[in-house]
Amino acid sequence: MASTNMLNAHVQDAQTGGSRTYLDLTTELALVTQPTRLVDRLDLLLTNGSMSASLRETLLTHLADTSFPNTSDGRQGKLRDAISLVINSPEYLVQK
Amino acid sequence: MNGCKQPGRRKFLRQLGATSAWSALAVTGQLPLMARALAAENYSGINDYRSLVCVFLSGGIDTHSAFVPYANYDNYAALRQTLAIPRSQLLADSSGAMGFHPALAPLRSLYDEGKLGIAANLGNLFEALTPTDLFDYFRDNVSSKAIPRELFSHSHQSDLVQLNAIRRPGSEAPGWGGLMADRLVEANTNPSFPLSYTIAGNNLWQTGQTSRPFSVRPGQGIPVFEHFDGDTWPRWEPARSTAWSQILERSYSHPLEAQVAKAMLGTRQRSDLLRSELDAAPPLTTPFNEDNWIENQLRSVARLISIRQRVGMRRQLFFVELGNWDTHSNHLERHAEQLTDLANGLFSFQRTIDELGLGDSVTTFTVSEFNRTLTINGDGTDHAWAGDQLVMGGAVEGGKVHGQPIDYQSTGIGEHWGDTLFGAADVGSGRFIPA
Repeated sequence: MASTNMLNAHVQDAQTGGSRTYLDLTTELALVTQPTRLVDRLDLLLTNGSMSASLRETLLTHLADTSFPNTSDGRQGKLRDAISLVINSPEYLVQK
Repeated sequence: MNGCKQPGRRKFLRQLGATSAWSALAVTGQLPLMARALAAENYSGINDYRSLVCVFLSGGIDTHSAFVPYANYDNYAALRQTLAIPRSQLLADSSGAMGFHPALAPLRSLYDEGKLGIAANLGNLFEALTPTDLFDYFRDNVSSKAIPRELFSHSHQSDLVQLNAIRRPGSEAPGWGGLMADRLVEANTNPSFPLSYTIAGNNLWQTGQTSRPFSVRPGQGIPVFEHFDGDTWPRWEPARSTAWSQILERSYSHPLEAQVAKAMLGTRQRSDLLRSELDAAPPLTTPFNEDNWIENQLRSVARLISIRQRVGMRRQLFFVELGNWDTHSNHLERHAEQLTDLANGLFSFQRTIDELGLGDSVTTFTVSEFNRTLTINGDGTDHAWAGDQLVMGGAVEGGKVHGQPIDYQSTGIGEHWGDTLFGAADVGSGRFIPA
């Protein structure tokens, strides 16, 4: 639980110029409006091209959720959520 | 009679004997009780409630000036010099043999009520040793006796007092609490629920072969998966939480993936259940000071104990810790502050347990990696060995000192490597081999 919370704190809350290590998400942010391409990119970077169809489907459903506003914050939120969900999935956590 | 269980149990009890803390329990009758509990053919038949609370005093508490020789005060005063607690300030026990440090007034009350006992002269030891055994080992680096390694080292002695064996590099030898938890978990009606709880982070004592402690932080309640707990901010967090649930609840053919999903879901479920039960529990009314760190931790223990029936617990272990005992300097003032916090914390906890009507079911004991030297370095004291510990609860034979107090005199009876020896068990400067 502690390591999940720590990883999520970096993914969800870290900002450029803040006190936490942050991710340079420029490339990925540009893909948020093309969810399939964004998921392909995360698959390539995080799951070595082996992402299961069901995880992909869950991500695409979440990226289409109506609770995200169509604003910069909303787009950031989508991207950060997609990363959080991949890195806390069993298929990512088990090294193969 | 189950032929398989008996040898295992004997071995288990023998392993437990390797660490000193058991002596503290043995003298108060808890070890036989635990032995009987562990001897059961079927632990699920247990239907009463019992728990042990370990109060770890890390840094090495100076018990020479916590429980002071009162009748035989002069030797103490001569050796402790400027750091001696004046005899007029000591709170003598009814026998007049021992005096409590003035900061321990609340503990003296519990002692007089028969709810607190002192287990004297304890320390890490595998078998009886003489100073000569140790000096020969220091000289030759071999011994026919089992010598505790790295005596006077915080980290090594802290490990040893929690484990049932010397820890080998890279190994995770089980702690003796964890070994108990491995077996006693069957006694709980909800065996998937953790038996052990730590309010002070991970520790070796509660680490068993299969069991691990559930971590709770004082004042912060039960931890949650912070970004997956369905909070209402940001607006999309409930959806994120739902998405993660879907990912975990899927069936996985890969056994390790299945295990990860199961572990995550189990942790989340336990955390949710504990949190909702604690929220629903009636408030405890015994006063307590939340600014006292150890008192606050023990209050969390009492709250967890208060929901024992709601979460199916009949046997439990708890771990709390009070650090900062390593008084190499400014000893008088710091030690008095430490003892004040400890005494207030233990007193408030015992009263809270009594409020729950569990005075006889919850036994609390202190552990420290070592005592401090009887001799002083001017403003402080150094790492030593044997010391005294406390055992508290209605099941304890309280109001007395169990075991032989450390024996010493004010003039040297010999020396080793330039260090004066003040008693038959002294290995230098007032560092005593445990009795």
